[in-house]
Amino acid sequence: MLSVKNLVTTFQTRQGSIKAVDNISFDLPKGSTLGIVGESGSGKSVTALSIMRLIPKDTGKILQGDIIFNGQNITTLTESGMRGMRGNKISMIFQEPMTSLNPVFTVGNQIQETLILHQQLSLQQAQKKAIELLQMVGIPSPEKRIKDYPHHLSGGMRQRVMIAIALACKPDILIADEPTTALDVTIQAQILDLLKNLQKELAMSIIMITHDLGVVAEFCDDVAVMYCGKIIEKAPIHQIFAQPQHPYTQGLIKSIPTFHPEKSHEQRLSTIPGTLPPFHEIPSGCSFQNRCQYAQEACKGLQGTPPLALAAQAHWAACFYPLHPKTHQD
Amino acid sequence: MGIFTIISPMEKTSKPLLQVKNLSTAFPIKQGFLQRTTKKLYAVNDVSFFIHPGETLGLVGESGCGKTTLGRTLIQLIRPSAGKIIFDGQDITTMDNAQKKKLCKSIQIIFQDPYASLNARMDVYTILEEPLKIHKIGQDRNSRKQRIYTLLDYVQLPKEALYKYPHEFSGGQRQRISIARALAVEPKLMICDESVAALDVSIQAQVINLLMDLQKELGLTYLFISHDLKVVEFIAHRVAVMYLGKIVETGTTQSLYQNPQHPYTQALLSAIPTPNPQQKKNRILLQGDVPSPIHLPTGCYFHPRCWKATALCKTQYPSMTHDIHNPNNAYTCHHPLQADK
Repeated sequence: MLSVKNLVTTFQTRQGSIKAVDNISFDLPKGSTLGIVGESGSGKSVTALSIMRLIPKDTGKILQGDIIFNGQNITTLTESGMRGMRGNKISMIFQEPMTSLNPVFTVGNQIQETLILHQQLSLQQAQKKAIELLQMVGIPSPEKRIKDYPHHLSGGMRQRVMIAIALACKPDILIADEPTTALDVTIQAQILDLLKNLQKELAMSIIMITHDLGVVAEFCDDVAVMYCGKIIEKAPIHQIFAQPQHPYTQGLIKSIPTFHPEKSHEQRLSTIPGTLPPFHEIPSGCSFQNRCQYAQEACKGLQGTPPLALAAQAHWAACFYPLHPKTHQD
Repeated sequence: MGIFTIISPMEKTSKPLLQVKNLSTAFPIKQGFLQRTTKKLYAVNDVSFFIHPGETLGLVGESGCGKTTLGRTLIQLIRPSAGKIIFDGQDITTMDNAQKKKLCKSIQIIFQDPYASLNARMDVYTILEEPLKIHKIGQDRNSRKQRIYTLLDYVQLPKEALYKYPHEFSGGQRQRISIARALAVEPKLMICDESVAALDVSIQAQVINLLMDLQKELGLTYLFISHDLKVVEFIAHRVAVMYLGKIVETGTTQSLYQNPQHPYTQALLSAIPTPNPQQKKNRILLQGDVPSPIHLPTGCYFHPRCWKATALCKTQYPSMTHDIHNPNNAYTCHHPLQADK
């Protein structure tokens, strides 16, 4: 359905040009969910914006690579061709439901806009459809709510409206960029449940961008871990939690406080030392070498950057010394 | 003593450092042309709890439940409308300004946003020296400098950090500076208001470890306010769960997480996504949003979202009940989950 190949997105900064997304590739089959995880500044959101072709033109650009959607290369599409795609075939929901809705238009207005633009519906038809959509995302008494302005609604409700707008044209792909980060846990559970049900109903593929490995574990089929603009590990969900190959992934999983009924209070959380390096200070070789407890000479750049290689079945890792290399194929 | 006061066996043996009794904080709601106060919003509503020296109390709840207001009331940034805050044997709600300034030394707060809580125009040295000057700690420049070096050691920042400005640091490092600033005056009680919420997981783990190390080293007492139940489970000895301004359940961390009595606590715990795809959980999906604290539901505040609510819940707010099996734990619910077993 969607296939991203060797994508490089660069930004011009005062320190020179930086690669916010550095040579990443992944496939998204129909109806499946891919999780992209990583810390802030790892390039998750830029990946999403590249697919939507929403990279600000004055500072950034897609330097190379192909984004192929249903046999069509998005990177070479004209702006008007892209407009027909956005919100229609590929939709996106953003992290901040507070800022991504327009405060001076009613909720109904904003849903109808998409429908009138992409599906050439009349205002009456669009209004009817908007009510249906609000009902679909579980907003009570939608006939009244379409006349509300965003500030009338709670955070969870606003995120539901965002989902309604994104799904208005039954897109093939939904990109959800931290859709639940700004919400409380009980509301997060509601929204994830809703997305899961709608995915089944509409048979769409979802790219879930998040920093929360818990959300990934419960929601996704496959996961790609990003670090410094690169995908450093890619695997089906069960494998990555059972046997992470990259030391960074292992560190991330271990640094989540988890329920240990038997734990003593003396226990410490395991951590990854140091911080994410700024983009203009990424070391040559493996970008994780300075924080990695297993780093050896080979990681320091003489053998180049570790490529994303098959470490076990369907399990890719960009590490010279994967943690659980599979010796036999089964 | 009010009916909501929580008494535990521990209380009899050691004296709590902080004891909060029936504390309420109300904000006036002004309406109309004359801006008359028509209603009051109780952000903190008749809350009682205690913290022992060296202990960490986790305060959890969703946004808008009054956690932050409670934290700010404790350091007197907001005046309470009723109740007592007894710190080290003294009621701090009746103190005058001079006494309050002294109190500042004993209670410090670390805020959520390390970007907003540090003055961008001060270098780290100035930031750390300011509290020392205000509270006249250290006779001269030299002794203050020594103290600042010690503070940097505590939070594991290099000496080169001293003459840098906040924007030169990452989020985790800034939070370390905030912690050092709070430690400057040798507080007894630290209020951590969502102090690790803005940080990435790997950095969050570093700061949590730092806070736990400091507690051991300096004998600090924490009130750890957070919406992240996983973090609280890790750091807190006891937990209090808030909903719409009230504490609905409290208890020792382990027993509360394993045997929640209040349906809200159970729903909160079940909603946490676990990083284990094998584990299939029975998730309790709560219906709807938290009601507006201006129009509070009658009876138990949780009843419109509760799957166990009965007619009784709609009329009467349940009183704080102690767990028979676990006297450290208490809850406000007519139908605690234990009754199911």
